[in-house]
Amino acid sequence: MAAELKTAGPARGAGVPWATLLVAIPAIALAAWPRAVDVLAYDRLQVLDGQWWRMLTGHWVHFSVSHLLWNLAVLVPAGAWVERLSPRRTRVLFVVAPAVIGGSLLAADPTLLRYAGLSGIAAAVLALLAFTQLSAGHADRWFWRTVLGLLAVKIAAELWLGRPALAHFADSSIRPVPLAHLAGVACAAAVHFTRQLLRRWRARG
Amino acid sequence: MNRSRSSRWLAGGLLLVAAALLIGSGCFSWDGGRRKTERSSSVVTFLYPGQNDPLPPVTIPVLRLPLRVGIAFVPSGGADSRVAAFSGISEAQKSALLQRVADQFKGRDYIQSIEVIPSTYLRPAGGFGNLDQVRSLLNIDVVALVAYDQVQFTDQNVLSLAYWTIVGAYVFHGNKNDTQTLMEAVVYDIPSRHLLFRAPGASRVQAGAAAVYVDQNLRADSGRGFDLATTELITNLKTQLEDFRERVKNSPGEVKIEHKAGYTGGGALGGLFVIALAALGLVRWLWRRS
Repeated sequence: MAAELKTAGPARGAGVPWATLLVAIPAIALAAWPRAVDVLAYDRLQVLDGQWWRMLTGHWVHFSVSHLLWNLAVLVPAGAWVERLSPRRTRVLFVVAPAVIGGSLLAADPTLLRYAGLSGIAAAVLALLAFTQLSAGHADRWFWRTVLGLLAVKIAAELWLGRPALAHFADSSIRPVPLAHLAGVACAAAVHFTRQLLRRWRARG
Repeated sequence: MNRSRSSRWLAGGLLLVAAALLIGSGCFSWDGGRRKTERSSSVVTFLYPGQNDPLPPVTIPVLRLPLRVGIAFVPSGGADSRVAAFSGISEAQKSALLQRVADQFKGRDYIQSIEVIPSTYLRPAGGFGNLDQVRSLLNIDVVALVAYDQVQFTDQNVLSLAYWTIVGAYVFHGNKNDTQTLMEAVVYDIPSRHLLFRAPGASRVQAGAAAVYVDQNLRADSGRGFDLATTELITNLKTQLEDFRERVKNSPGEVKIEHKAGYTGGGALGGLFVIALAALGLVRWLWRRS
């Protein structure tokens, strides 16, 4: 039974989860800068006006301290864990996800004028961790399926209700952006499954 | 006998020609053929009725993005007109022209909606009071007022001599029509009474017409004139809009830009989500221990 209950172990090259720390530390540092949201948040009009970097930097600024802390509460443990299991994929995800999420917001939600927060990336990391654990084929697959289910329920509820589900903003005018979480999960799935699909495709070829 | 018959024929023929000339001259008398028709509306008369020296606005306009814009033709007529004077352009034409302008600016991120304001909502010389009513009624922030000035001239050329015959009035283009149209759109922030920017559009339509069809052709030329002027107006409006955006960026004191509440989104997984995950983790830990 004990053997069956093992989860995926650390991969080669896994040590200090530096990529996760590289993502988390700037977010904490920027929280101390009062003008960070004005200068770095995703601002649709400014992005269309040429400040394209806001699509990337918007993830690292937050509207309040609690907004930052709850996102970090998911990102840091999930990121550190998955980076130990699958360091290369995690680092690829950290590079790709900010651009994919920012691009999705720009392309698919023209009414969203401003956006800030790490949650899209945190959702991506959590989904990648679940995919990695499920692929390992251990006995606690129910747990990872439930994690993915919880994420799916949150996204669906926010899409359906148009207000935060399992979250709260101090400023009531701020709306949830489930699209960011959806894009993050899709990005994680792409990063996780692309390698497998490529392997199968090569094997067939 | 023969001479008297031929002289009777000649007299009859002359009588017929005289009758034709009499009828023809009655229908198409020569008056030089010059005619001028003018139709116009004025933004100044509409916004500042009876004011010779209107005071400039004192507050800085605050634009809350995305904007809700209204677009309307300025009603023609002055302060003494209780109803709008006939403008020479039908409501359907006005609506179609305004819709063309509106369609060009839809889908822009800083514009939430563009409402075409029916002419019945504006009264001649209604001023900003009238605009405030429309603002409350249609929930708009900014209004684009379209004013126009169209002059039509009709002159007769040498072919108009053919009008002396009835057939010639149908066949020969003895009239030369000239339609000159000037349109101008002025965009106002209603609460601050500030002119944000303006753009003109002009056209000239010249065409010949036979006497019988002069009025019909003038109506068609009028419509075409408005259509062409609107095309130029749209092009100039786009340029002016871009210039205005640059101006706002370079001199932020001129216009204040704010974002409407409710359009800001936050990516948050949230405390309850974290607690739910932690609870799940606890269940997993207990399950693994058992």
